[in-house]
Amino acid sequence: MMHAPTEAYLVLAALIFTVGATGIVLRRTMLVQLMSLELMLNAANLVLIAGNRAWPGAPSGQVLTLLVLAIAAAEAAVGLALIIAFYRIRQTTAADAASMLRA
Amino acid sequence: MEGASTLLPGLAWLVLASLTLLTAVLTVTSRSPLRGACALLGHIVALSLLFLALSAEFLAVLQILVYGGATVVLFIFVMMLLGGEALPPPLAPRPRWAVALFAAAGVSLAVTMAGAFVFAALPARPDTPAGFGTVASVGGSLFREHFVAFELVGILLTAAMVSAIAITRSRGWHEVPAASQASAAGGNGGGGGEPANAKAWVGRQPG
Repeated sequence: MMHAPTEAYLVLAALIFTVGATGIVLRRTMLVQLMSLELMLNAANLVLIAGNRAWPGAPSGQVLTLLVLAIAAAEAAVGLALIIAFYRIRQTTAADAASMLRA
Repeated sequence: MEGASTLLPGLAWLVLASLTLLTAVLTVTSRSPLRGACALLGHIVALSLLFLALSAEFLAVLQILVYGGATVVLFIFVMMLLGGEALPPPLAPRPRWAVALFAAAGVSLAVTMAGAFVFAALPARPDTPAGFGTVASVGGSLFREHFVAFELVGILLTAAMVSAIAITRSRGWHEVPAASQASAAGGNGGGGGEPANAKAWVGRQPG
């Protein structure tokens, strides 16, 4: 049977969040950066679910995870649309090419 | 169900957790974004198994449906739409010390958290009430206590859909800097005599 203390889930979520943050800062492809963002949201979801399991009085944590899921879907849709629009202008998805606002 | 004897996570949990972490690392480090998306899919499946271990059945199913079925497919669809040339050429990699800095930050964060939990443990996890994590319990809470949030998320999703369509509609004047004028306006045709910093009609096919 798989069981682990809540603390183990929190440590795992912290590690996943760090991996996602590293990807956003260090990778140069916008698509990979967006996927790293999804990793960070997943880590937050894991914390919410583990917290709800630790205090199972009401399923508020799971409801909040559901809302985060919907927000992540909306974020992915808008982010991918922005990537496509950017590709139309610059013919690349490299984040370093997005310097048009630089004075 | 689980007493104080199980302070350490079980072996199966450790395997699953390391699989989740490994797929997350692969998502970030893959050179090809398509491989990254596949690793993200594996990460999502492993994470939904962790949700099952936390007796959140409904969310586990929903995680695979929404993330694996919709979001990852959307990513792969965009990669297919943009094609291989959309991926930036392999530039000089980030300096090693930056990667090492982030790895050290993550590891020290995890070690600090684990150390803190040794001294201040969370209260013992109670057994779940009957029906915990089922569709009925989550849905009941969603439509009673959190109904306003549910409606607001509906509005948010509609707004996101409309804005995604509006952003990608590619009709309108875009200011294109002089440096990229040649590449961006090259396919337009008939715009040969434009001044260097003119506004370019982007996205509309000629004729």
